[in-house]
Amino acid sequence: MKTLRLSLRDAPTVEAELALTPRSVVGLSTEEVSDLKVMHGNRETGLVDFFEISGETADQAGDQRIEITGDLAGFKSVGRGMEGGEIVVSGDAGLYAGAEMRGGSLVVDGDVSNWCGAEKAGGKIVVKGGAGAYLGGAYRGSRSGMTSGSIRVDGSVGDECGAWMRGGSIRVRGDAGRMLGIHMDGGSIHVEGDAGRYAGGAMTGGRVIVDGAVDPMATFRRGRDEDVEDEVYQRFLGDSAEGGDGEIMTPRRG
Amino acid sequence: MELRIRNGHVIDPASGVNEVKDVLVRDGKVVDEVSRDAEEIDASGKLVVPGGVCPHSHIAGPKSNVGRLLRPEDGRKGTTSAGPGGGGGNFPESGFSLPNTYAIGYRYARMGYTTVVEPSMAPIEARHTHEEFNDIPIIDKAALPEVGNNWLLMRYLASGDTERAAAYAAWLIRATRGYGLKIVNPCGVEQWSQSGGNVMDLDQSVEPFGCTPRKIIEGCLELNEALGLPHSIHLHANNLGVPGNVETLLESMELASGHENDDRAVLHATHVQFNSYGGDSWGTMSSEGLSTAEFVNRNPNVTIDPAVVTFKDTTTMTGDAPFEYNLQKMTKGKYVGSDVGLEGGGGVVPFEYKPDNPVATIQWATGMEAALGVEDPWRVFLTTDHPNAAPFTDYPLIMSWLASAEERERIVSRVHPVVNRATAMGTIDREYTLEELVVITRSAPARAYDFEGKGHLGTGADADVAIYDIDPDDTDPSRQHQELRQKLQVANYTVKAGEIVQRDGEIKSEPLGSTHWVDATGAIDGHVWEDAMSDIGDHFQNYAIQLENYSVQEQYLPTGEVREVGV
Amino acid sequence: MTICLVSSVSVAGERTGAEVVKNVTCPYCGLLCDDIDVYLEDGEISRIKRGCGLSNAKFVSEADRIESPAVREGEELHEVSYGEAIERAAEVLREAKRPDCYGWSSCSVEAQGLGIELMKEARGSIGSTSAVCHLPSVLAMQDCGAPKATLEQVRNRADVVIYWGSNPVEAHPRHFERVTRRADGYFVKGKDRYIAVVDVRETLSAKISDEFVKVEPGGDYEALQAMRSMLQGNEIEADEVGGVPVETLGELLGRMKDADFACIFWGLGVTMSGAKHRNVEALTSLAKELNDYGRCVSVPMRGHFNVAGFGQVCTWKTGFPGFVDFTGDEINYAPGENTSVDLLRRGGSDAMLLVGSDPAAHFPLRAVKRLREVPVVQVDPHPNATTRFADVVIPSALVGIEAEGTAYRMDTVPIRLKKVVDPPEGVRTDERIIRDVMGAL
Repeated sequence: MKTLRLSLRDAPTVEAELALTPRSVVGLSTEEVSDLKVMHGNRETGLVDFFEISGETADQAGDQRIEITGDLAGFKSVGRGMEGGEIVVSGDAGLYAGAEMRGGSLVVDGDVSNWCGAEKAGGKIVVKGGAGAYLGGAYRGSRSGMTSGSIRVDGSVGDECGAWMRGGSIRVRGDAGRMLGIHMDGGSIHVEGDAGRYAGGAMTGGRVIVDGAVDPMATFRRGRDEDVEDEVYQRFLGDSAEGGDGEIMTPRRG
Repeated sequence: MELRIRNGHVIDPASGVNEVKDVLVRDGKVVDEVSRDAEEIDASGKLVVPGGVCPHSHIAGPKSNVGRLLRPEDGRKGTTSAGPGGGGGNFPESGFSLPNTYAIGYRYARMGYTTVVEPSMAPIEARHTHEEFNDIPIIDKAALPEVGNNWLLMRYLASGDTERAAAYAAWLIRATRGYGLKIVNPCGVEQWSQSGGNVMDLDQSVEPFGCTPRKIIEGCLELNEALGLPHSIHLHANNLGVPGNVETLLESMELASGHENDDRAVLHATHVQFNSYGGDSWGTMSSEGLSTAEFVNRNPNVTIDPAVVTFKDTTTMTGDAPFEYNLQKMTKGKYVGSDVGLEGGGGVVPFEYKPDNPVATIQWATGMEAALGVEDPWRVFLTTDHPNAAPFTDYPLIMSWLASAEERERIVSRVHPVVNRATAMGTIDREYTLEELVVITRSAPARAYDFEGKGHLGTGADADVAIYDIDPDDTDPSRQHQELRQKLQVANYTVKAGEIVQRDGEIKSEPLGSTHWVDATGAIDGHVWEDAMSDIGDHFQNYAIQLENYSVQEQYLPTGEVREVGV
Repeated sequence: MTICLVSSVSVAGERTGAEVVKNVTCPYCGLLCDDIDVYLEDGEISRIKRGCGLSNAKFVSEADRIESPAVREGEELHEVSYGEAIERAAEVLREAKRPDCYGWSSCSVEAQGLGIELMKEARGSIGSTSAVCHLPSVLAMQDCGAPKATLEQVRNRADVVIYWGSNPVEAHPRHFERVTRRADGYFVKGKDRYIAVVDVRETLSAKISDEFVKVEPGGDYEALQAMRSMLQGNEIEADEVGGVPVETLGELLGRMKDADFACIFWGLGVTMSGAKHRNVEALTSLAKELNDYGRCVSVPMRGHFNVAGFGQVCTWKTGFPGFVDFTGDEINYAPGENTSVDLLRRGGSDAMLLVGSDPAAHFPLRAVKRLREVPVVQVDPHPNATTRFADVVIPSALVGIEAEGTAYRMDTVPIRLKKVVDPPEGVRTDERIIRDVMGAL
C-alpha cells in the first residue's frame, strides 16, 4: 500500500468538485497529481491550488491510499465512484461522499453531507461524525439506491436514510431522521438510536432495525418476534400499501 | 451562399440518380450551376444523399416533456458538454431516450437527418409543441394533431356529416398549426376517459356519441381526400400492444380500399410492430409482421412504418391512454397518465426491452418482419416510433440489420428461443440495398408527406444533404454491416438549407429550421364553414379556455411555412 | 386581501367611451382564467369584468413600482440608466464563480427560456420559486409519476372532487366556478359533484363543500398510505390514522372508488408539511390505483400564474425541471444541492440574480444572512424586502398586462398572456432585460 498525502491549505470560496479517487492517481508523478483538475465553482483549477501534496502513488488502485487532512465540507464528491484502495479524511466531507462507490474504503473522521454513499454498489464507508439526508439513497428519479457494501455512521443521520435501498447494510450509532428506509427493497439498516416519523414508508422489502424509539405506521402489522443479537425484537411487516414485505424490528420492551 | 459538393456518389432514387456527380447549391436550394467562388466539399468516394426525413418521432410537446420530467435518470444518461470538445452545439445535451430539445436537433443532424414529424399533438396543448419546436435547432418540423377521440369530430362522423367534419378538421389543423390528421386508438381513449375501459373492435360504439372506430377511420379517409391534405391519414390502430391485434390492424387498413390518391397512399398505418401480433395471450403471442407486410404488398394505397425494437431501456409514450395504464400494471414502475379533456389523452411508461424476454424478442421480430416483408420500399418508412421501440439514434443500427441477413442470424441466435417458434426471422433472407435504405429513410417518407423540396436532390430541391464516408462501389452492406452502421451514425457532413450544420459529429451551425403547417380552410364552402363555426362555438362551452385564446398565434411560428390547399 | 367567494367582483355599469379588451388571461394564480374583460380609459385600466378579487387587485392596483434602474453605492441606491445597470449586472455574473438565479414564477415562458440560456452562458445555476411550493410534487413525479388531466376533463366528468391540503376559495377563487362546484360539465352538473376537503383546519373551502375531513398536521402520509392499503383489501388495525378515524378514511375511499371519475386537487398543505414529496407520492399513487375501479386523476393547485411554465421550459431545454447547474462540463440536476436556499445555507453561491422574487421575505434567516453578503441583482416590477439590500435593481414590465408572452396553467395547458396597456415610460420587459444582460456578458 502506497500513501498519497493531501493537506488542505486554502479552502474553496464556493463549493469545489474533488474528482479524486485512488484510480485517478495511480502511476502519476507528484506534479501530475498537482495538476489534476478541480472545478471550483465554474473555474477550472488544480489540486495544488488547494492542497499541499506529498507521498507516493501506487501502480494499481487497490494499493493506493489517499490521506486528506483538513475540513473538506466545501468539497463535493470525495471518493465518489471509487473502485478500490482507501481514502481517509481527517475532517468533514461535503455532498456525495462515497456516492456510486464500487469498492475500497472511505473513512471520514468528521461529518458528511447529503447523498453519502448514494447508489453505491460496493465498498465500505465509515463516518465517525454524522451524515446528512439520503445516506445510501438514490439520486432524483432513480429507483435504486445502495445495492451492496456497507456504511457505518457513528453519529446521527438525516432524512430518507436508505431511500430505495436494494442491498448492503447501513449501521447508524445515533438517531435517524424521518422516512428511514423509505421505498427500501432489500438489505438492512440498523439504527441504534431513535427513528423519526414515517419509518419504513412504502417499503417493499429489506429490514430496518431500530434499537431506540420507532413508531411503525398503521400500514405495518405485527409479525413474529425474533432474537436479534441476543435480544427479543418485535417484528412489524409493511408497508401494506406497497405489498407489505418489508420488516421493521425493534426490541420488545417491558 | 453557394456550395459545390464535388464528385460524390449521389443516390437520389426520387430523381432516378445513382451515380458519381456534383450537387450544386445556391441560396438553400439545389441548382444547375454555381459560380467559381462556391465553397467546395470534396465528396470523392463518399455517399451523397438527401437529408433524412423522419416520418414519426415523438420529439416535442407535453408527452415528450412529461417523459423528461418523469425520468431524470434517463436525462443523466446522455449528458454531454456544449461547445468544442463536447458536441459542438451551443447548448449541452442530456437524455438517452428523452433528449432535451437541443440534443434532438444535434443528434438528428449528426445522423444526416434534416426533417422530422411529431406525430401526436394534443390540440389544446399545440402551443406547447410549437414552443419546443422553436428550441429544436437545425431540423425542419411538422406536427399532426390528434383527432380520433375528439368529441365534435366523433359527433359529426357518427351522424355521417363528413362535410362539417371536414370543416372542423380544417379549422383544427389551422388552429393547431398542424400538418395533417392523426388518429390514435379511435374511440378507445374516450371510452377510457369515461369508465377506464377501452374499445376492442371497429364496431364497438362509444356513447353518448354513438361513434365507432370504423366511422372515425372511414370518415377521416373521406374528409382527408376531400380537403386534399398533403399527407394521408395517420393511424395508430385500436388494440395496440395486445396479442392477436393483427386482425384489428388488417381490418382497419382494409377500410382504405375505395379511397384513392394519385400521388400517395390514403392511409398510413403507423408503428405496425405494436399492432401485428398473433396468438391470444402472452404465452401464445407470435409475430404477424409478415401478414401486415403482405397486406401492404397487395394494397398500394396503404403505407406503414415498423417501429423496430432494439433492446434498449427506453420510454414508451403515446396518446393511447388505456394502453399505457395497462402497461404500467405490468412494469409496476413509474407512470404518467395524461387525460386531455374533449380531445383524448395519453401516457408515459419507462420500458426496457430485454433480449432474453420472449415478448421483447417477438416484438423485435415483428418490426423487422414488417420492414423486410414489404417488397416496395416506397411504402415502408424507417422508424422506431421514438422513443417507444427505441431512441431514434438507433436508426443506423436498424439499417445495418435490414442490410445484413448474416447479422440478423447472429441476433436470432442470441435472443430468446421463442424467436424460432413464434416468428419468421429464421426464414427471411432479404437484404436491403443502399438505394433501398435511402428510399425508406428519405425519398418515401418525403413523398408520403408531400414535402415537395425534401427527399430528393433534383433542381429546386431544398439543399438538405447528407454525406457519408461510404463508397457505394466499394461497400458490401451485408458483410460490412458494422462499418455501415458506424458511418451512418455520424455523417461526414450534414447540409441544411445550403448551410453546413454538422461535420464529423461536431455541430457547426444551428439555424432554426422551418415548421411546416397546412391551411386547408380554403377547401370549405362558405355555408358549411359557418355552420361548423357555430358548432365549434357551442362545443367550446365545455372547455376551460376561451375559443379566442385556443388557436396557436403567429408568434409561435417564427419560421412557419404554410402550405395552403384547396384554394 | 379581498376574498371573493367564487363569483366575480361586481363592477360599475357600462360606461361609454371606454375601450375594452376581451378574453384577457389573468396573470395572478395558476388557474389562468382567460375570460377577463379589461376596460381601458385614457390608456389606463379602469376596471375589469369577471375577475376575482385577486385578479382585480392585480389589474387595477396602484402597487408600488420600481421607478428606475439603480445601483448601490455604500448604503444608497443610485438611479442609473438601463445600460449601466445591465453592465453592472453582467459584471456581477462574470465575476462570480458560482452565480445562482432564482424566481421566475411571475414571468413569461419566453423570459424564463432566456434566463436559462443566460445562466448557461454565465455557468451558474437556476431554479424557480417552486422550491418553496410544488417542488415536492416534482420530486414525487420523478419517483412514481401521476395520473394527470386537463381541467376540461375534470369539469366535464368529475363526479367526486377532493381538495387535499388546498383552499381554492382563498388561493384560486374561481376554481369552484370554472372547474367544479358551479361549473356544469357535459357529463355532470356542478351541483351534483361530491366535493370533499381534507385539511388541518376547516377552511372557507371546507365550509362550502359537502364534507370536511380533518387531518392532523403531518398526518397526510399515514392517512394516504392507509387508504392505499385499504384499497388493496387490507384491514387497518388502528382506530385512527393521521388524526382521521379509519372509518372516515374508508368512507372517503369508498366515494372515490365508486365514482365514475374522481379528481384529487392537492396544494401546499400536502407539499409543504410532514412527509412533503412522499405525501404527494402517496396521493398520486392512490389516484393511480383507483383507476382499477373507475377513473381517477390528480392535479396540483399551482400558485403563481406561471410557476408551471418554468418547469416546462427548463425541462425541454435542459432535460430537467429547474435546479440545474451549468458550472461543470455537463448539466447537473440536483434539487437539495442546487436549490437556492440550500446553496445559500451552505455558502455554495457567490452571486444572485433574482427575477420576480423576494427571498428576503421567504427564505430562512441563515440563507438571508448569506444573501446579504453576496452581490444581488434584482429584476422586478415591484420593490420588496430584498430591494433593501440588492446591489443592482432593474425595473421590469408586468407580463400579462404590460407585456405579452406564454404561461402554463396548473394542468400545464399553455395560454397566451396579452398586453393590454403600455408599461410605465421607459420600463423594459423581462425578455429585453435578460437579452441585454446576456449581450453584456
